[in-house]
Amino acid sequence: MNRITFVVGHFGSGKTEFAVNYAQHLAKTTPQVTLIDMDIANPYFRSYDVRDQLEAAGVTVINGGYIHQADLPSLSPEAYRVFTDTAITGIFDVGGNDNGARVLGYYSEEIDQTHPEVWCVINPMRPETATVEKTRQMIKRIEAAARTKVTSLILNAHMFEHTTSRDINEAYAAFKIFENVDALPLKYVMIHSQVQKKDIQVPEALLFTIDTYMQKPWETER
Amino acid sequence: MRRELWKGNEAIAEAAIRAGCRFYFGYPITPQSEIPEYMAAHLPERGGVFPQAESEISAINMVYGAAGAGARVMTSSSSPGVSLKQEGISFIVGAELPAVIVNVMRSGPGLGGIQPAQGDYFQATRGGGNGDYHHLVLAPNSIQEAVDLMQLAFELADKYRNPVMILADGMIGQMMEPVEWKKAEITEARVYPEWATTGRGGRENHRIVNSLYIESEIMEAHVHHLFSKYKAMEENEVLYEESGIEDAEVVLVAYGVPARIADKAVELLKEEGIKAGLFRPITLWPYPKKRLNDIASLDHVKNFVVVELSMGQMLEDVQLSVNGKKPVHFHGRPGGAIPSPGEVKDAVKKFIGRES
Repeated sequence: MNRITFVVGHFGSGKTEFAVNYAQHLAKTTPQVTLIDMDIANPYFRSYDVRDQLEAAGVTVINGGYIHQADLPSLSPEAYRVFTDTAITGIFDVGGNDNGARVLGYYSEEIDQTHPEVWCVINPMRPETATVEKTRQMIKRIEAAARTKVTSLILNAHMFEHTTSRDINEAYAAFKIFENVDALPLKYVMIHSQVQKKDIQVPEALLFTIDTYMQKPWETER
Repeated sequence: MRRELWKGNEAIAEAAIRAGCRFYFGYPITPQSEIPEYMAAHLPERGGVFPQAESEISAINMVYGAAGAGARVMTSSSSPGVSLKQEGISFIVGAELPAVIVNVMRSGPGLGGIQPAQGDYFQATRGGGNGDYHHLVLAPNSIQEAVDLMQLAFELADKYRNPVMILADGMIGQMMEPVEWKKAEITEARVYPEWATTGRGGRENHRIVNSLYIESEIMEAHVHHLFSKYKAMEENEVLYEESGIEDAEVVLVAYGVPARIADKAVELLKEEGIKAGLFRPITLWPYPKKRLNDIASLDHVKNFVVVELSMGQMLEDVQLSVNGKKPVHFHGRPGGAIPSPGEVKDAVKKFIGRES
C-alpha cells in the first residue's frame, strides 16, 4: 500500500469519520501516522476538532489550513512534510465534493511523483449518491477537480441510529458493480460499532468497524 | 416514506424547491453556502432560476421584484449578510409582498466568526429595518423540522402577504440528520395572485407595488392595516413545544440547537431527582407569551432558565411573558461557543440552589 492516502467524497459521506478511525487503526501497527485536516470547504465537524483523542492514540494531526474554524482556501506548508518525509504515513482528510477535492490539484506535482491512494467515501443514504449512476457522476466531478483518479471506494451506508444490517447488505449488493464495470475496487465497507454484525453479508476482509467521533453538542454530557 | 440523510442547508434548499419556490436569489456566505450551491445545481433542473447576486442588498431587491411579480421566492444568508438585507425586508413588508428569508446565524458583531450563534434574535423579532413592522420568525431545532417549516413559511407568507423568516443557527445548517419528506411536492404552475404585477393585460388600471405613502393619513391607515395582520398572526400562528411541564419545578426555555442541548440537560437533571421541563418556542415572532405566562402561574414552577447562543436576547421575551411572576435566569454562550448538556445542568442547579 502507498504511504499516502487522500480521502475524498460527497460532503456528509463520512470522510472524516473514516479518516479519523483509519488513522487510529493504522497507528496501532505503523509509526509516524499523520492525519492532515485538509477540509477547506466546511468549518464544522472537522477531524482537527478531535485532535486530542487522535494524538492520544499516537496520530500526529496537522491543520491543513492556517486557521482552525476558518473557511479560507489557504493551505499550510506543513502538509508538504508528508510528501518529502518518506518515514511518514499520511492520511489527507479532504473537503467534500469537487469543491473540496480541488485542493488535490494544488499538489498535482507531488501526486504525480508519489502516486498516493485516492479513496472515495460513498454513503448511499445521501440523496446525491443514492444510486450507482449518481455516484459515477459525483466521482467524475471529484476526479476532474482533483486532476487525479479515484483508486478505490469506501462504502458507508449510514443513517446514524437508524442504520440496519440490511442497509449495509443492500448497499454492498448494489455498489460492488463498481469493481467489475468501473474497475474501481471496494477497499472497505464501513460498519459503525453499534450496528449488529451477525446478519451482515459482506466479506469479512472488507469490513471496517468504526466508532463515531463527530458528535453533535447534545450527544455528549460534557 | 424512506428516510434520507441530509445536511441542513441542502435540505432547506430542497424543501424550498418542493414547496414550489422557483426563484432564489442569494450571495454565498458561510455557514449557509450549501443553500446557493444546491440551488445553483438543482433549481434550473426543476424549472427555476438562480442568478447569483453581486451582493446581499442586490439579492433581497431581486426578491422584492420577483415577489411583486407574484412569484414564490426565497433568499438566504448568514448574520452579516442578513443585516445587509434589512432595508429590503422593510420595503417588502411595506409593499405587502410574500417572501421567505433564511438566516443561518453565525457569531457577531461585525464579520464575527463562522461557528453557530443566536445573536440575531433582536434583529429578527424586533425588525432590523426601519419603520413599524413585524414578520413571522420560525426557528427549527432539527433538519426534519427545518424541512417541515419551509413549506409552512411559504404558505404563511402568501396568507398574510408578509415576509417570513426561518431563523436557524449554524449547527442546523451544517449538521446531518435523517429526513422524511412528509408533504407532497408542489409541482403545478403557480397561480399568480390578483395583486401581482403581471402586466396590464387589457385591464383598465395597472397594478402598483409600493411602500411610499407621502400623506400621513394614508400612511397611518396603512400601518394600522399592517398591524391588523400582525394581530391575526398573534392569534393564529403561535407555535411551541413543551415537555415535562406538568410537574416541573424549573422550566428551561430555549429555541433551535440550544433546545436540543437543554432537552438533554433536562434528562440529566431528572436523573439527579430535579423536576425539570422544557419549553421551546417555534415561532419567535409571534412569541408564545400567553402559554409561557400560564406556565409561570403554575404553583410547582419555581424558576425559569433561558439557554441561548448569545448574551441573552430571547431572555427579554421570556421576562416579558413571565412578567415578574417567577425568577428568570440565563445561561448563554456567545461567539460560536456551544454549551454542553452538563454545563447547562450545572448552571441550572446553581440558579435553583441545588449545587451538590
